[in-house]
Amino acid sequence: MSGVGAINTPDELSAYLKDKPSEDADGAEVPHVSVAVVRVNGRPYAFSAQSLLQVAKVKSIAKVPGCASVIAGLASVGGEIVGVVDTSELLHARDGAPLQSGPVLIYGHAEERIGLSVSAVEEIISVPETAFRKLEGDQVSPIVTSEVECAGQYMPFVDVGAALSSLLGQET
Amino acid sequence: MSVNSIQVVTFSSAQTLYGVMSSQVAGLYRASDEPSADGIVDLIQFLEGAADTGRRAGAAAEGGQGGAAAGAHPEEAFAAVHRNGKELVIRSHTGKRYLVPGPVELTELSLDVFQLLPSLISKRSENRGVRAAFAHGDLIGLLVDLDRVTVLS
Repeated sequence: MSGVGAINTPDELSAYLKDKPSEDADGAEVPHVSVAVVRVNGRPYAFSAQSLLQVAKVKSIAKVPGCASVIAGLASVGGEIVGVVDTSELLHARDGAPLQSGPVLIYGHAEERIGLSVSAVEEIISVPETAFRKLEGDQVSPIVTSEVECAGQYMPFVDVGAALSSLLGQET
Repeated sequence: MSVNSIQVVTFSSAQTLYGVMSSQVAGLYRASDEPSADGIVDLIQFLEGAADTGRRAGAAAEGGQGGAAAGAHPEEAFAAVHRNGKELVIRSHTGKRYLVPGPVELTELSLDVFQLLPSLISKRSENRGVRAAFAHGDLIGLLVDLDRVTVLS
C-alpha cells in the first residue's frame, strides 16, 4: 500500500476511510455534483441539489391571484409559508392542470426558502462531472445547458440556482 | 400592552381564502340590503379578475336565482349575486364598500401565523392588494389591505 502508513486498529482504518479522497480508476480526483432526479409530467430531470434543503410533501398549494403563471402559489412547510414554483411551467413541460399538492423540493436561495413542485422525486445522488455533456442548438435554454447520465439514462440538468435568480430578477 | 393576536374577517373565493383586518372594517351587511351597486367594489373581481365574478354570477344562475353570464357587466353580476342573497358588503373605515362572497367569519389569529409574502411571490405578482399570508388550519390565506384596493372608474 503506497503512501499509507500502517493501519493496525479499527480507529486507524476508520480515520483513513474518512479522509480518503474520491478517486477514479486512474487515481485522479473527479469532482462530483449533487443532483435530485425528479419527474415532471412523466419526464425525468436532474435538478442541481447543492442548495436543496429538503423534500416536503405538501397537502395543498394555495394559489395567489395576479402572479405569473410560473408561480404555483404558497405552501406551508414546517410551519413556514413558502412560495412554490410551478416547475412544469418553468420547464415548458405543462401537461394538464398545474400540480396543487405532492412533493416539493425546498431550496435555500437568497436567504429565502423556495419550493419547486414536481410529480415525483426518485433519488438524490452524487454524480461525477464526467457524466455531464453539453447540449447544443435549440435544446439549450438559460436554465438547461447540459444533460447528465443517471442510472444509464441521459436527462436534462436543470440549474435551479439560475432559474430562481431569474425568477427573482437577480443577476446570475 | 403587547399585542399577540389580531381579528380578521375571512371569506373565500372558489380558489383562495382571504382575510381583512377587522380594524379596517366599519360594517358588514347583506348585499341584498344594498339598494344599488353604485360605487361598490367587487373585491374578488379586483383580486382575481373578471373571470371569478362570472363564475359566481353563473353559480347564482345555477341556483335558480337567475343571473348574468360569465364576463357580464359588474352591474349585472351584482344583480345576480344580489338575488342569490349569499353575498355580503364590507364597509371600510373610509366609507368605501366592497362586495365579498359569504359566508364570512370573524377570527382571532395569532401574530405567529402571519408572514410577509415571500419575495418569489411579491416580485412576480401584479397584485398590490395582498399584503401578507397567514396559516389558518390546513389552509393558507391572503391578507388583503382594503386601503390598497383602488378601482379606476
